[in-house]
Amino acid sequence: MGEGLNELAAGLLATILLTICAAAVSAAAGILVATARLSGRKLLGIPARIYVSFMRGTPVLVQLFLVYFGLPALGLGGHPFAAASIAIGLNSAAYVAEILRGAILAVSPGQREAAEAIGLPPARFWRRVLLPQALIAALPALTNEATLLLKTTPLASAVAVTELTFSGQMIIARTYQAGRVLALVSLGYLILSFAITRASALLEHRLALKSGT
Amino acid sequence: MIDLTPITDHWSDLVAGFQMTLQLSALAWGLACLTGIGLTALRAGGPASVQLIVAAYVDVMRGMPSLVLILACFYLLPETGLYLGSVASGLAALSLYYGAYMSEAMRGALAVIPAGQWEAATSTGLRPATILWRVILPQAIGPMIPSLTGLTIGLFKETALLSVISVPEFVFQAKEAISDSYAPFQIYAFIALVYWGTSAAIAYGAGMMERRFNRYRAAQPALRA
Amino acid sequence: MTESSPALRAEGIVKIFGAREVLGGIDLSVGRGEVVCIVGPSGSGKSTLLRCLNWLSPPSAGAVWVGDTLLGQVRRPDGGLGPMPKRTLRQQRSRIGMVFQHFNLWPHMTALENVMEGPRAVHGLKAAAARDLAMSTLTRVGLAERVTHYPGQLSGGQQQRVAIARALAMQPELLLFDEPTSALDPELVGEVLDVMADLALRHTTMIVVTHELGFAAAAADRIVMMDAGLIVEAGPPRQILAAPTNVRTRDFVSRYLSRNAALTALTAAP
Repeated sequence: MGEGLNELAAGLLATILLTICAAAVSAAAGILVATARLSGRKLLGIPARIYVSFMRGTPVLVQLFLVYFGLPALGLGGHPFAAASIAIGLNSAAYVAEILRGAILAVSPGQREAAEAIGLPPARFWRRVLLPQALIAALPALTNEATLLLKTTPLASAVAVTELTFSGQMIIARTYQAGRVLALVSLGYLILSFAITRASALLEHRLALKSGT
Repeated sequence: MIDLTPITDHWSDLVAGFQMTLQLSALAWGLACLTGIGLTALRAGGPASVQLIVAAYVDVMRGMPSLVLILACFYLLPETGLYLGSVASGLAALSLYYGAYMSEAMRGALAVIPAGQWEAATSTGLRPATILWRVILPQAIGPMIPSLTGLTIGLFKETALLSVISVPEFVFQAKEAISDSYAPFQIYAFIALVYWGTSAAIAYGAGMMERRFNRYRAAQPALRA
Repeated sequence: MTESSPALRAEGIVKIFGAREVLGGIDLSVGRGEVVCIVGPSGSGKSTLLRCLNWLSPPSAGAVWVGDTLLGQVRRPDGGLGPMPKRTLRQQRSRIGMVFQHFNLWPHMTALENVMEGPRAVHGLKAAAARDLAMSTLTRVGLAERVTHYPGQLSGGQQQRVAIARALAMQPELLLFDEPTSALDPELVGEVLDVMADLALRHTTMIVVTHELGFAAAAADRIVMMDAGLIVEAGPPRQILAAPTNVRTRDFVSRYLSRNAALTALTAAP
């Protein structure tokens, strides 16, 4: 069981790395899509809506395969880790975009009027007034999405990325110790999930202190 | 022109796979609903120890990836002496997983109903069972629909994971077709479109149901807000 | 700007929302240092007019001049009027200050930061200079001890005074007030009206949409009565409140007085 533990530890690290990479893709793409939908221009808004609808209407596993087999066609090579990060990230981005859009729309319109009445440039308004408030409001939902992203990473095992679940499956195939291995694997995800929610609570606490609430 | 022959060549297999997906989804949905109702009932009316167990169960289910639960059911259920096969293992996993989420959705919808509704009904002399059936549930179903729809579509999509334990559903059949024809992108794109369309249909149907159950709200201006 | 030109001049302001004509053609001229109160029943278009005056809600027709400069529009070579580029309009905006009914303070910034933001971002002041300006403005409205508080920690009256300070810090040529006390609890109204009365005494050019006829009686140089999207009467307080010539003005004022009559009668000396 000893070397099994090493494998699981390596798998855990791979899961952490995969989660971070996918989260980066998710954040970047999510912001782009949210901006597109909020821009008010149909040329941007309609593709964004189609994107969100597709991501939410099809299984992530299928999206993963599409990316995995589609990347070589784009000349980008078929690296499983990259494909998994991109696919999981793009899927999550659809939900992140909706969360951000909701949070931005929820900022009271009177604040934009006050900024306009003073003559504040839009970019400054976005940077200093709108986004800070939207991000604080979106934090719980974004944290939830982060844990969901973590729980989607096991799908990478379908393209042989040696993350936690895949490592577990390899050990089970060798040792037939399914119960013990899966218990440890579950524990691993529970711990990571807990870490995410704790980090978010700390962030929320710090931001609340800053805004005097 | 896109070459559609990989799809047409394996048409009957793909159709069989989609049928399997639909059947699995329906069965798992039914079992998950029952599980969810049971969990909600236990949590609302059971002794404190039972409530704690249910709460712990829901927390564990929400903290685990569904794939891990599917693997657990696949590997561990046979050890309990029941040789259920991969289909039953998959159904068990999905019902257990989504049952927990559904019970949370139900709890949330019930919590929104004002306590005054129970009080008014009780003081009128109605029995608890009648109150539940005629007063509480009709009001709870409307708010429940959005979250339940999301869970239903999620469950429908998640059946794809059962391909990992070799259940012959849609994705599994697609893989078979691909190993035969070496056209992964077309085939996965095709099944993605089918999933997409079905999800949209489910969402549309749910929207219609929601309107029907929330009709009474629109009819009363005070409730409209 | 010539000495004799009005602080603000509006001609032919029409505003149509969908199929409804909310403003049917308003002409208004406000002199420098003048305090004009706009009163009237709900739905008369008072707030809509105010928002047209600083082009926050551009009118469907008509023109507004701030001093000698056309606002929100530019004169085209063919003599017609076209929209002004957004950047130019923003620069123009700092000449007009606006105080909103619901304050519209930025909740994640302190009172000081709220007041500093405009001067820094629009007038390019450095942080230290902006802070000094903000401090002195907040002191003027009586909030020197609350500058590091967040809007959530301030009462409605205090928030509105911060909003006034925020507008003042831009050193505008005139101030617009959109029902500044309508959202306040009655006991907080006084502190805001006091600040506004002080500004009036210092010859600040002000256009105030309000229900507070008492304030208008005391502070206004001119009261403008609106009803159904048109100006029905305008004149000094003595005329509008005591001897209105228009029947609708008479109705409006008498309804206001009768509401207060019961209280006055009850509390009058025996």
